Parts: sequence; structure tokens; C-alpha cells
Amino acid sequence: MMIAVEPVAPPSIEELYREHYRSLVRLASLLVDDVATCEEIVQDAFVALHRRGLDGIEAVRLPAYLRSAVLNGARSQLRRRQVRRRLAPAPDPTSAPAPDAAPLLGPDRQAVLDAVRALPDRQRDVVVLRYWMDLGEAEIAATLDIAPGTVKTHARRGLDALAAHLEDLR
Amino acid sequence: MNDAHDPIDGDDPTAARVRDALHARADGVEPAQGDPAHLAEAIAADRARRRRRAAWAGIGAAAAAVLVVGGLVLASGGDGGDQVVTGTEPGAATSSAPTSTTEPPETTTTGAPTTSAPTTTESTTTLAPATTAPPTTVPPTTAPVLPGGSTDPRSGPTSGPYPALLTDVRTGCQAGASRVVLEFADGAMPGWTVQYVDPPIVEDGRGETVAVRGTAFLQVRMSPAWAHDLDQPDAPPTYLGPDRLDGGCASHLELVETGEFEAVTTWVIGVPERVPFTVNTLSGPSRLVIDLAT
Repeated sequence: MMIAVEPVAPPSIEELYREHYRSLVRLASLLVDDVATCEEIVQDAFVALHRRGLDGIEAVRLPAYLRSAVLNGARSQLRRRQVRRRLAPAPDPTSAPAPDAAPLLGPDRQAVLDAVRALPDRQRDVVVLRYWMDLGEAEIAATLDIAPGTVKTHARRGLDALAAHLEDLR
Repeated sequence: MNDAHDPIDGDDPTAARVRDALHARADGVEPAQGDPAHLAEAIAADRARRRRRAAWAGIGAAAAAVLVVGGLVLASGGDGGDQVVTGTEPGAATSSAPTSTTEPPETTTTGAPTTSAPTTTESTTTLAPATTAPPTTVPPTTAPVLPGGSTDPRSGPTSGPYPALLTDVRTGCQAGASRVVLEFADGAMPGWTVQYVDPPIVEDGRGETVAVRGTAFLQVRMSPAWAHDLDQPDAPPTYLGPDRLDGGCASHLELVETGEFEAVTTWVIGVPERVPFTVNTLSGPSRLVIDLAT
């Protein structure tokens, strides 16, 4: 009965992959410069989901689960880079844009992006999910596994911090 | 207050700038991959990594088991029997005999007898090279002899649940034969063919050449058989050991998984030459047992 089944991946995770891979890479790219690293982060998230099994997660929760895994992966990348910068104040060669990197954003947009990346973890996650994914409060709450009210607090604080920071830059 | 139009969003200029910058960044990113084949590769790599890790954990458990079984064998030998009970080659028995009476635990870790101890229990049920050879004669230095063995291809039918799930692969060395055991879950036995094949050894499905030590290659082909439980959504591996095992015996050098594709699981045993072999099946748990003449 199951001879024809493909040996490696059950179709459900493949479908998820086909549907969400690109948008999840873009999500990671909001936090991490290097696109290849972003792809790795997303790949890891899918592998972890596969290993864990899709069983215990409701189907509707799967995209949120993946988003959260990608945000977590991106966060540890960010942190690693911050540590590297602190240990070696000299310009980090990996932060220079690779030849095939995404087009440069221009100083203004880059400043905003850098400021978002510098936010505390939760505020950054909320800001990204809200202003890039256009997720509603409930969806953000579900993704990050926090209360809806907390989402609002993080969003407001994040936005305030960004406003202050960007004002300083002017 | 609780939908998208709450005050923090609105016409906030900062929100607009953030939105603009995030979208500009994301729009500029063009992922290179996205093909599920890449995911399959990543999952396979992850599986291989975990197998290696499990193998190391397994070695610890196996070492503990060997100690226990070895201790039992020695203990029973000391109670009432002579060296026939140990079922190992005379050379090893004589060298360890003087010390074994004084400090059994240490000798179990050093000598060859311990490695063959677990398999001797199996050999009594089917074929008896180990139990017959040691008491009667000195190990033969002549051509390899294995009762009922030959170099001809052998095959057998499937039985029990379908498909068979591989759970373990073991090797063991004995005086007259070295043994390879493939174990399956839930009493299932796949159809099997064991035969010498000519190199190159090619991985089933992927078509890549697989390096196997040796000059002769005994292929064990099992179908329908998987090493993963495809009935589970994430198809967890049922066999957690390494897919490359050092044979550790004179007669087989290496044991390598060469395919798990469309319900056909294959392993290849690398041998120094085409020695005679036998194939037996055992039940409870169901096992495919291949003995090679040494």
C-alpha cells in the first residue's frame, strides 16, 4: 500500500515548504544580512519541524510555528554577530555585502532596518510581524506565544524606541 | 482598540518608515532555493547526523551489555562447566583462563570472547559452527569451510507485517564464521536476496558510487523493507545505528547501507574474497542472519 510513497518527506511538509519557504527567507532577511544564512535558518526550521513531527501541531498553527522558529533562528544569528562585533571592533568582513547580496537600500532605509534589528527581541519580532507581514494582534500573539495585550505593549514600545532613535539620527 | 486600526499603527510616520524599509529590504531578497529537493537533502543530512550521534550512544550501551553478558558467561563457566561453555576459540580461552578465576570482570573487557558472547546464543538455534568447532579441533588453517555454505545466490520470501522495518544491524566474529544480523520490527521479514555482486557498488535511487572496503561484495537486498516508519507523519528512522559498520572480523571488512529506495533496502558486505556464506532467518525478534566462512 505504501510502496509508491516517496521515502524522504511526507507531502505535507513539502507543501508547507513550497508555500512558505520564500516568505520565511524574506522574514529572516529583515533581521539577518546574509541571504544564504537566511536560507539556512529557514531550512533548519523545516528540518526541526520534520524531526519533531507535524503530529502535535494543529494544521492552522503550522505557519505560525515556522515563523516563530525562523525568528528564533534569526535571533541567535543576530546575537552571534553582535558578540563577534564586540570581540573584534575592527570592521567585520562578513558584514560587507557579498557580490550576490540583495541590492543596497540607501542610507535612510538601511538606518531604519539597523534600528529595527537593534530593538529588544520581542519588540523586534512584533514590529517585523506587524509592519512587514501585516499580521493582526491575535496572529502575532499566536506566533510568539504571548498574550495579545503584550503584543500591543511591545509594538508601542518598539515604535517609540524607533521614533526616538531615528529622530536622533536626523 | 484590538484590531489593526489601533493608535500605535494609524498615520504614525515612524510606522510608515518602518513599513517602507522592511518591505524594501524583503522585496530585494530573492531566495536561491525553495525546491523541496533541497529540504529532502537537509533532512537526510540531519538524519545522518543523528544516526552518528545515536551510534555513539549505542556503543556505550553495547559496551555495557557486553560486560554484563560476558560476566554471565564467565560466571557460569566458573560454576560447573569447562571451557566448552565459553564457546570461543581455544587460543583466546587459554590465554585468559589463568586470570579469569581471580578477577573475572577485567578479563571480559580485554579478550575476544566478549564480542562473540551475545551471538553464541543465536548460533545454538540454527547452525553450530562455534559450538562444534572449538571442543573438537584446533581452528582450521586450511580453506574456509562453513557447513551448508556456498557462494551461490540465495533468496527467501517475505512474511509477517508489511513492509518490514529494519531496527538493527549487528556483526559478530566466531571461530568458524563471522556473522551479520539484520533485525526487523514486529515479527516482519522482508523478501531477501543475498548474492555476490560486481563493483562498482552503486547507491540505489541516487546512482552514486559507494566506496566499500574489500575485493568481493556480498549484497543483501530486502524488499519490502524500510529503515524509516513511513506510517508516521515525519517518517522517523526505525534503524538508528550507523549506515557504515566496521565488520571487525577477518572475513568481512565493512558493512554499508547502499540504498533505501522504493521499499528496497540494501546493504553490502565488503569481503576480502568470495567466501562461502549461509543465510538463515530467525524469529522473535525476526532476524536475517548471514554467516560468512572465515
